[in-house]
Amino acid sequence: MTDVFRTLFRQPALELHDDLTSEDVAGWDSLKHVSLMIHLEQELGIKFHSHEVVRLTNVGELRSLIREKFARQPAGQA
Amino acid sequence: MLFNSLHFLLFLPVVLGAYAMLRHRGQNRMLLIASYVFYGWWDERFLFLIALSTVVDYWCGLTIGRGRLTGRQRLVASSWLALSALCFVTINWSAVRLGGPEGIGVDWSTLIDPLGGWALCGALGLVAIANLFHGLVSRLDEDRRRKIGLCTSIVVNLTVLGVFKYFNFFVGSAEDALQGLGFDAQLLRLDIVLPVGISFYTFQTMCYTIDVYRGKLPPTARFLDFALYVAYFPQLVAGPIERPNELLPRLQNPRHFELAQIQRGLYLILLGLFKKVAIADGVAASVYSIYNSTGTVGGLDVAAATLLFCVQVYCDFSGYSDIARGVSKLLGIDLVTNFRAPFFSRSPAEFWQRWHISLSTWLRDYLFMPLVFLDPRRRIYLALMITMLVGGLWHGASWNFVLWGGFHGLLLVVHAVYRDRWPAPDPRAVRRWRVVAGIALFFAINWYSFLLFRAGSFAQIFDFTTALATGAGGMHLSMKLPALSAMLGIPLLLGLDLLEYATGDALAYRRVPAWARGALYAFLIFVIIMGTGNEPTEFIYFQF
Repeated sequence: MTDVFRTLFRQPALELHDDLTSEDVAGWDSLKHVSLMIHLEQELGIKFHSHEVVRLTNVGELRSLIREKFARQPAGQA
Repeated sequence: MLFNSLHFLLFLPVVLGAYAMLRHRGQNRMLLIASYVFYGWWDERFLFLIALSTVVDYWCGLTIGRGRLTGRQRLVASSWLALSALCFVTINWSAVRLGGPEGIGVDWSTLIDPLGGWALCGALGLVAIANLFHGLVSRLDEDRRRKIGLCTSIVVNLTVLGVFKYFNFFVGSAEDALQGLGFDAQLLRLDIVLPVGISFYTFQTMCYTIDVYRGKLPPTARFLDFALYVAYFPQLVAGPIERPNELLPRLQNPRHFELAQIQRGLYLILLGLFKKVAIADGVAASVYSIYNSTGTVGGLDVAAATLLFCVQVYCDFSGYSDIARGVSKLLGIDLVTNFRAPFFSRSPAEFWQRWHISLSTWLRDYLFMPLVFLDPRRRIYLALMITMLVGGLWHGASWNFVLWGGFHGLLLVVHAVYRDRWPAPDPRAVRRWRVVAGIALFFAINWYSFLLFRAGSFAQIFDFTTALATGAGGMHLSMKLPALSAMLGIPLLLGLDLLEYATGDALAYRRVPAWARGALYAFLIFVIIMGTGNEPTEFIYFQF
């Protein structure tokens, strides 16, 4: 996940923590947010819904959502 | 009722006085009546559409969130719709005489409006169908029941919007297209007036059912609270478009008053009136003199009139939002910020984070995101273009608004592609001259977009663009000069917006010394009084 953030925002030193929000990262607007979610989908092999994407407010919530997605997937697919 | 009218000047103290004397529940009932009076002042018949949206979305919200309505909830909602049809559409109130030479009486022959009779039958039919199918829908499995609730809400709201706002536009466009193909088409047109603010309240009420469907908030069980959410008068006709999870709890819970909130409310009303009366109305005639000119117009005139139109539309709309927020603050209810110094934006993405924020975030969350994530191929730029075209059309049933939306969509796509290649630098590391140059460059592009917004036809867009490009007319300026109130007001507004932009704080004006603040308030009042001499114009965004 950190790699996806670093590549997308071109910030090799970016460190993720649960309280990190779009305000803290240069260029993290709604378009970039959608790109980020699509990159995560491809990287992690999961699918997001629009209502899940609009609800997120920080990296902690994003991590929880991804964990939820993995927990819901049948064993072996994650 | 207009905010800048004598009626509102009398209406507001009466509402505030009654509000101060009542407890929470009484306040809400009184605010609902006041909101219906406020809206009915234009035309009471359109209150029926508000009642229809209210009842449908209340019903759908509970169907989605709880599966069924109690008998009492169905009775209240059904009665509300039937009584609204009877009182606002069926009865022709002009047949009732309350005085005059013939005294009090009723003209029985015209008391019942024939079309209104059909509306009443329609409302009763709708109520009967809803009650008849209620049991059936509540027995369906959760997934199907929720989808039926959501689809009903969206279909009803978009149908109302489509019929009253877009029907004649699409029929007219189809006629033009058929005539272009050589057919002599004469299609049906509806003889209807556009209900004030219909796009605002349908969007606001529709996002309630979508949010209930998304599990973002529970459905509202108390009908009157929901009816007030839909019709809340400060923001009913021109926004800000409020989210249910923000506004509903503020209406459902008792309000607490603080002196600072009242001070801020009064300042916002003053600022809004200053923008509208002193500036927007002060430059309206100048813009009109060029955009409604029958003669040939030179490039300098187009440039100046478009520049003043940017000022006019910003002051008109953000002025309305300021007054709406100010009035609401006096009632102890906060509304969202709708503008944050938008003309200091350096990119289209930043502009839409500063301009009509409640609409741009609505379009992002309820149109753009579903378009992206329902599409298996995740085509972001296609979704963005569709969103901006719809956003343009939302402003009015006219192709120039679609063009305006498309222009901004294209700007956003180009900017996103550029940023993919050259990521945004840390804002703190950007040099000041680059910030100024960025603001100036984007303003120049955006300034042209407002030519598309204001133009009356494609022919005018072509003529004005040609005049700009060729510099026709030389340095001759035939535009009517703005009123003095606007010439004095514009530099002050520029200063206030610059202060907000530089500090990132809308309350930065409070940091200046007390004497300077006093002088600011006095100057605002002085210029507003001066502006009352300007020809008043209706708020531009009412037509949306």
